[in-house]
Formats: sequence, C-alpha cells, structure tokens
Amino acid sequence: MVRTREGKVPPVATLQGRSELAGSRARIYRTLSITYARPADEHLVELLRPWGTLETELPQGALPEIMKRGLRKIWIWLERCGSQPSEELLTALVAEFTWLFRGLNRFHSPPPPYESVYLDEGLVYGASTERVIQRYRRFRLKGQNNEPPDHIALELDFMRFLCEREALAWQTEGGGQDLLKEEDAFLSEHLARWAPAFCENIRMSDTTGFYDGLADVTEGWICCDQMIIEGLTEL
Amino acid sequence: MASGEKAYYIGTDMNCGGACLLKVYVRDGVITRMETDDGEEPQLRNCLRCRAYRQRVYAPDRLLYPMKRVGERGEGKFERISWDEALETVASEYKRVKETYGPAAVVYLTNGGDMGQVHNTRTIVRVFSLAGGCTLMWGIASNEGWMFACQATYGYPAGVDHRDVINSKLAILWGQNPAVIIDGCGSSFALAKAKEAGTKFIVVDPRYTDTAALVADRWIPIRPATDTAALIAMAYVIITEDLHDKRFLDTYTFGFDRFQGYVLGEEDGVPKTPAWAEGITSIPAQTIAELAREYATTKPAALLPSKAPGRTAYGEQFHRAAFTLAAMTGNIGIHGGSPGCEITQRGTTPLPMGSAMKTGGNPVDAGSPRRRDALPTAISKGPGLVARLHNSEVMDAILKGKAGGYHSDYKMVYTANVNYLNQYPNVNKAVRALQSLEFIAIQEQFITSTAKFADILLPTCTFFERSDAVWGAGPHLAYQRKVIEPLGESRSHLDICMALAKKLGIDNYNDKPEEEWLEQIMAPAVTDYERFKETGVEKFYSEPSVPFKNEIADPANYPFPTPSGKIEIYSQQIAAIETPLLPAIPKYIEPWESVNDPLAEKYPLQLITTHFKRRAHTQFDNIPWLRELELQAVKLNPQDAEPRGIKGGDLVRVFNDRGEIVIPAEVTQRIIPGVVDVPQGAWYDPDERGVDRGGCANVLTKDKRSPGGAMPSNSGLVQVEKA
Repeated sequence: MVRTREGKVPPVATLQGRSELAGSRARIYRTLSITYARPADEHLVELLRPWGTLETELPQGALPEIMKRGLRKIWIWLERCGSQPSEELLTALVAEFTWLFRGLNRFHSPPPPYESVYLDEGLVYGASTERVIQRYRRFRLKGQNNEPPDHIALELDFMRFLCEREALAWQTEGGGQDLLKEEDAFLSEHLARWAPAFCENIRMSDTTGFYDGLADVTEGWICCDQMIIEGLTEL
Repeated sequence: MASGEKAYYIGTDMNCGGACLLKVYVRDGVITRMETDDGEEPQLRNCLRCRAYRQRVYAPDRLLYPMKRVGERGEGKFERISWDEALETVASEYKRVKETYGPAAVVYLTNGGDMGQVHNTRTIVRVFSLAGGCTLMWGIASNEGWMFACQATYGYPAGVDHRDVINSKLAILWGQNPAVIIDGCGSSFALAKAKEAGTKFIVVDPRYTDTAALVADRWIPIRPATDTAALIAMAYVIITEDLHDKRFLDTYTFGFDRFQGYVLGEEDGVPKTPAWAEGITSIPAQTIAELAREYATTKPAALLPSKAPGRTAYGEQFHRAAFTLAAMTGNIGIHGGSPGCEITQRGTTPLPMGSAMKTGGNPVDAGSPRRRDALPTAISKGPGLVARLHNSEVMDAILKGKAGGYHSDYKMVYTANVNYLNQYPNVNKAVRALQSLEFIAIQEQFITSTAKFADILLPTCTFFERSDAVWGAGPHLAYQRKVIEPLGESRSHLDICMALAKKLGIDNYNDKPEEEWLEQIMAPAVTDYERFKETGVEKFYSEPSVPFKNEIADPANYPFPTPSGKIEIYSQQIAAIETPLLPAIPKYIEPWESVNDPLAEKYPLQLITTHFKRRAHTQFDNIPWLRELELQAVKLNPQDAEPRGIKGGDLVRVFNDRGEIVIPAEVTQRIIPGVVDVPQGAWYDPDERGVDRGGCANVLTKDKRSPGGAMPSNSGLVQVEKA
C-alpha cells in the first residue's frame, strides 16, 4: 500500500494534545462507521455537522486533498437537503445504500464491504476474517451475531475503540504508544489493504453524490490517519 | 487435517437427483473446505457443482436479510427490513387478497430447489392451506409427459436402476445424458462399468453428448421432437418382420391390436415405415430398421428414453411409444431390461419412511372440479383439478384471469424453491405478468432473475445451516447435519413458515422441532438412526431393483393398477377423455414449431434447451469456479454457422417472436445441422432494450402445454444472426 505523502504531519507534543487528538480521531471513525453500518436517517445532518470543523481538530495540513474533495461533495449534497433531508431524499439514500453495500447482484452491484470479499477470492468468512477475529479477541471483543467481523463498519468501529482507549491511555497510563502500534498494524494489515478498492467501487457506482463523497473521505481519512500515527510514533 | 478442524459427511439436496455425499471441514464455526465421499465403495462422489458449494455458502451476493422493494418492481432496488415487518407484510397482503378476491387469487409457485424431507415446499403449502388456501401448480416440469404416460400405461411411474444396466446386452440411451445431469449418484460410472463388462451402447440424440463420448458404440443423430416417429417406425419393422414377443403381449398387455393397426396404416392409410420416419426424423430408413432389429433380437435389451424428448409438443406420445416397444420386445420386469423408462430411482424404490408434515388440505383444491383431460388416477388427484394452473400457463392465467377462461383472477404470487421467471416458457410474457400483480413475496438464497421482481424478499439459509435428510434418485439416503449457524438473518424453510403461520393467526401449524421430524421420518427407513446421523448416509446395496418385477413374475397376484390389470398399450383411461390430441394408442402427432411449421421460414432452426454441466438448472449460475468452466453459449453446427458468418466465440443474437438473447456462439460438430442448443438455467439479465444478455433459454420458448401436460421446452424455432 503506497502512502501518498502530502507533507509531513507536524507532531503533537503534549500528552493532553495527543489525548484530544485521539478523541477527535475516534469521533471521525465513529461517524464513518455509522454511515456504513446502516442507511442514513433523519439524523444524518446532525451526524455530519462536526465534519464542518474537522480541519481545526487535526494537525495543521493533515487533511489530504482527496479528503477535502470528499467533504466538499458532502457539503454540496447537504446543502441540497437544507436543515432536514426530505422523505424523498432519504428513500433514495436507503435504496442506494442497499444497492452499494448489500451485494445484491454479483454482476451489477459492487461487492459487499467485507475485507475477505476483497482479499480472499471473493467470499465471506475467508482467511482475512479469521485474522480480524484474532485481533478483536486480543481486546476481548466479539463481533455481532452472524455478521462477519470484517465488515467495513465493524473494522472502522474497531479503530474507534482503539483510539478511545488511546485517548484514555495518554491521560492515565502515561502512554498510548502501544495502542498507536496496534492502530498502525490494523490499518496497514487490514483496512488500508482493501479500503481503496472498496472506495473506488463506491465512487463508480454511486448515483446520489453522497456516497461518492463519503468514499473520498473514507479513503482519504485512512491515509491521513496512517500519517498522523507515523508522526506521533516518531516522537 | 488442520488443528481444530472437524470433518462431517453431508448429503446434498439439489434436484439433479444425486444426493451425493460431501465431506465438509469446519473450524470455529466456519466451513474451511469441502471434499467428497472417501468411504466404502460404492462411493457417492459429488460432481463439480457441489464441490464448489463453499463458494455458494459464503457468496458475497447471498441474500441474508429480509428486504422490501423501493422503486419500481423489477428495478432491483431494495431496502433491508426486519423479519417482523417482512412477515407482517406478507401475512396482511395474503389476508387482503384473500378477502378481496378469494384465496384462489393467491398463487404459490415452486419446484425442486430444495429436496430435503423436512425443509421443502410442503412446509409452505401447509401454511397457505391452513390460512385459507391458494392456487397451486400442476405439471412436473421435468417429466409430466412421462408421468402421464406411466399412469395411463402401467398405472404408476417406475425407473431403471443404474446398477442393472450391466446386465443388459444392449442399452439404448435415448436422449439421456447421465454424465451431465447425474440423476442418481454414480449413474454414469455404472454405465462405464457396464460398457467395460460388454454392454453395447447406442445413443440417440441431436447431440453427441458427454455420455455418448463416454459409452456410445454408435451415435444416431435425430431431429428434436420427432422421436415418437422413430419409435413407431421401429415398431413397424418389428411387427412386419415378426420379431415381436407375442407371448408377452398376450399375457401382459391390452390393446396391442389397435396399435398394430395404426402402425401398419390400417387406420389412416399411412404405413409408419422407416421411410416415413426418415422424412420426419432425418434418420436414414436403413438405420431405423437396423436399430429396430437389433433392439428386438438382443436379449435382454434396455431402451432408456430420457425425459428430454418428452419435454416437447405431444411429448407424452414419446413415452407411450417407448413403453409399447418395451412390451413388444418382452424386456419388462427382467434384469437387464427396461420398461421404456430412463435410469432413475426417484420415487420408484419404496422406502418405509415415517410420515412427514402434512399439507393440511388446500381449500382452493377442495372446491374445484376435475379437468376433463385429467387422468382419473390417484397421482392425478390434485394435479387433475381445474383450480390448479399448469406450469406453462401460469403467466397467461395471471394476465387474463377469469376473462381468459381460467378458474380465477390472480393477484398475488409467493415463490420458494424455484426461479420461476427463469425456468418456465416465455420470459417476456412472464415479466408482464409479474408486473401486473398486486403483491409478490419470494423466499430465496440469492436475488435471482425472479427475485428481482419481489416486493418482499425472505432469506433462506443453505442446507449446511439447518438439519434435514435427502433421498435422491439412487439407492441411498443421506443425512444433512447442520454444521454452521445461518448466515446473517437467513432462516430455514421450517422456521420461516412457523413465523409466517403465526402472523397469519394459525395456531396448529407445527408442534415438532426439526430434529423430531427428522427422527420420525427417517428412523423407520434406516437400520440405525444414530449411526445414520453420525456417518451421514445409509446405502442400500443389495440386488439392483427391477421395475414391475412382481407384475411380470406373478400377474395373477400383482396386476398392474390399470382398468384391465394389464399394460395398456390402448389406454382406456385416455380413451375416456375423448380428446383427439390425446389418442388412446401411442401416435405420432406433428409438433408445433417443427421444421414443417410455416414459422420455419422466418425461424429455420430448431431450439433445444439442454441441461448444463456447471449448473443444476439455475443453481450455481453465479458461482465463479463454475463459470470458469464453460461460457453460456449457443451451440450450432458449422453448416449453420458458416452461411451466417459466425465463428466460435462471436456474439450472436438468438431470437424469435417471443424475444431475443445475445450470447457467444460455440460452433461444433457435436450438434446436428438445423438444431441449436441454448443450455437452460442461465439467469435472465435484460439490458436497457429488453434484450437478455444472460442467455436465458426461456426467453425463446413457447408457453403452451402439451395435452398430456408435458412442458415443451424442446419444441421451438429460432433464428441466429451475428450480433
């Protein structure tokens, strides 16, 4: 996986700063996870509002161009909604969500967002799934019932979990370095290996403009977070 | 075996008739790989289809959640909903349609997608029967013509045990292709063993099939839908050369004289000579005569006509003629012989299974008169009712209702175990019919070409995700142990039906859990039920069975269950129907869409729609390993390809007035000129112009049933052009 270097991310020196950064990163992962876990509902605007000030929460210059592009696409789409998306718009989003993320048709719709589908001969519950389960187990996490644990929403949620732990660790245990290592490993061995292909599929199939933007944000964020972590671990 | 892996033997339940044995490895609740039976001989080894089943269980496009349609019907746009909402919707729509139009307005469409003893189509029939009734289908797509012929001639259906073919000196495989279709695990292996032991094989078929390549000493090509004429001309030779077994005919049959009169031309002035048949079948007269003599003078000889030539216009006559020839040569009821039926044991070897779930009696059936053209037999009791829709007429009935002379108007369809739109004739008409309905609910594992038209989708799990037992077309029973939890929110048939029954307010739907049903049904049929569950199989490998053995050995005590107690070459039951297109003796009737049809000027090529190696009907069409093997292509002879400028691999249009498909062409000598083969089962996939790019054969077939109920999927005319 090639990381596009768009300028080194300035390090965050203080423990407090790092804790707050981890908290911001956790919130970004959480929002992303929710958008992939289920179709948008009337709380969508509320959910995405914090992204308006994303740039201020992250180290200077951290946001890659692709993520900025994605955020712009989402703003344009949100502007059309006004303060509350209409019934019609939400129904269209729900239909699009199902089409994009439920693998309804092998030949016409994108493959469903499971790591194993992208990396292990196109099937669910492949070897990657097993490795993801092992990682979750180390933190005594279980997947959901009957849902493969390598769904994009669950992998993003795992990153949220790690970042929240990390935020706590900077404040209490005197160091989040171990968790940073864990986050880096999960991104490089799992999420970052398949997210770009997944995001490309979404961009090619989405007809609403919303998920197109979301794909840019997702792909950009994963890359961005890898650089942030690199910056933090160099200290 | 890797650490923590456990292996289980599990029977498979496609309606290919195999019920072969998979060896499934499971670790941590995940199936890691699949192999096949490696136990005692004879082994029940799976073919390529079930070997690829892991790709099906874990397919990325499995339907795992209940869905509700958003957007236009058929667009394929859905949203996920809860089971509660899905079942509530189905139940309330059923009630609404029933109250507004009557229960007959609800049609339940089904077939053999899942052949388990517990989780099968009966579970759904019981729900609707107890809820107030529904319209059911009649006409077994595979073999209704054969079924009709069996009932009229012998009184009940029977098949030849593939283990007995080794006892035949001569076996004539008439359209049967066990190497591809299976229909009894080990059937083609048994043929190979027979050949090795000295059985001579003749294959009569428009194609040089894989089975022909495996065993044929001779291939006799024949025009589709003309097989009856060939058989009748063979009868002519046998009669005029005095080769028929008069003792057998006198002892065991009824009405041979009438048949003889017809064959000799006494009835219509046309003697059914080999020369007469040559003009119809394109088989040289000499060849027909040789075949007749060889069949009549070799003892024992097995005439093994498949169901495929019977899936034609007037296809029931083909089977009636085959039974007659078998009787004329005295090859019935003996080892190495055949009553003119194909190799299959499905439904023919009685097994003392315990009683399964009852359907409860369908009120719509109860109120219905019989069809005038139904046979008055026990097997025909349900299928013979006016209220039932023939499988080829369902869509016409939906479009026309009472105004078209049908028993009811039809407003709702529920399907399970079938890809109906794809597999029955005239897909474009079916699309219009489905669009006209008020509500459609479908139980499925994938969003198939039919499921795309659903308003509500109910996800069914695979057979690894629940327990059941299967009895295929061979002498064994297989257990299906549940080895993994149902994926997503998919459920077994029984679970779906129990929940639906509850929503419909039915309180006596089911009182037994799955395991109890299984024990009740299977324990009486196996020697040791616990061992059966442990090993996954019970093999019955004593003597090969012989159909009608008792009736021939001891006719006084075992009469045939026909009006005369004999094999009715002249069928009194058919005679009582008094329909000219259902003659009481086997006759050749010119099929529609033959080469003599005026339509042939526009559409000069005969279409056959054969079984495809990498699918079981429509099942497995979306599985990558299997798709690698062979393209869905139309097969045509170089003599038809060349004038059309078509080379192998070219994209071509195959079309007639009913529709058009665009697929690659395969140019091969293995099919005779004038005939093209579009293998059935490819998923219908229309483009923006409504042209099917999936290669669904039924875009082209005609939705008209044969008088005896055969589904004429091998009677049709098309044209082929470079795309």
